[in-house]
Amino acid sequence: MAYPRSDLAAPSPATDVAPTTVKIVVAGGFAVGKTTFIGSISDIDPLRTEASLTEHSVGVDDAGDRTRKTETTVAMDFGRIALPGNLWLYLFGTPGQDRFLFMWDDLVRGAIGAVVLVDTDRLEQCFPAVDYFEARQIPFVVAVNCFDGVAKHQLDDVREALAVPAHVPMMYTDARSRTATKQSLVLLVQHAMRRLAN
Amino acid sequence: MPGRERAPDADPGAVVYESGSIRPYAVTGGRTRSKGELIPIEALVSVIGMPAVQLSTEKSRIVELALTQYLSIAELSAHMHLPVGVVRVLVGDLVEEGHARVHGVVASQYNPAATLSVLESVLDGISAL
Repeated sequence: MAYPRSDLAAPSPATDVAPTTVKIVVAGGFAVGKTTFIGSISDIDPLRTEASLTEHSVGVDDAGDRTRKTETTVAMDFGRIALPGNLWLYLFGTPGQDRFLFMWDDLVRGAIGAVVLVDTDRLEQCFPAVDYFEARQIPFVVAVNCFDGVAKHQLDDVREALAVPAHVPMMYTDARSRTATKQSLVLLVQHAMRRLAN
Repeated sequence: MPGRERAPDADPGAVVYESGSIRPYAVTGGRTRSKGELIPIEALVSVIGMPAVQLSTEKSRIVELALTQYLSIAELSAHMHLPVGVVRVLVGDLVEEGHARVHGVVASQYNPAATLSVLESVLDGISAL
């Protein structure tokens, strides 16, 4: 799905200095569209990696009937975007189940921040992510994924249900849309810059 | 919509580590982490020439993959179908043995994501996509 959108030549270790790498975490419930979101903008097809250290123990996903996902590995998907200035931006999707929260510390260390993808039909699935980023004071934005292109709820209502403060940016998004994904990332980086400046 | 109860005091330390398969760590001699700083998952690895010495299959594969391109720990993990933790240990070994270099972690005080000029470049770059 990923098309080579960036015309930046990949730097060669033989002749070029290593790119500076930054990362953004994409969180949210299982099958909320994280990998789609990442794939909509990544230069490379999203890659899947198994998580680190002591994780493993693979159970059965309790995904709702919306999903056809049946994979049960503790995996996370990620993508990469080359930006001018010899910058590589990595997008990491979090493993979408509460019991893998312990792996997030590793993921979020040094991250610009997080985009929390929300499906308003299964709002409660994003609570652990919101709790997590809030408790660690990691900049995050809430992006309400409109699966069928239709917003079912007002953002104010979602904000109230999530109990996120007014300074946390919220927007509608469409994980399939490169433009919408781009806007979500822009919103997050702007938010992170404001946080940094304060 | 069912609401969320704010849980500002959530204890980040309250995690349960499950015990489980350690088979992938056979290639690291059972080590689950290398000495020194934990290499960030997005840290780029490059290889310092083709080693003259015989390396393990997994280390050879890393050398092969990273010889002509910068690859992150995460990408090596994905390409090799090995957990991130295993790749970290193997890369840590290669660095120690003088075969590989890890970029962006030497000056561990420097966090690009907390540097305004870097964020400005990221913002400009994404906006221009």
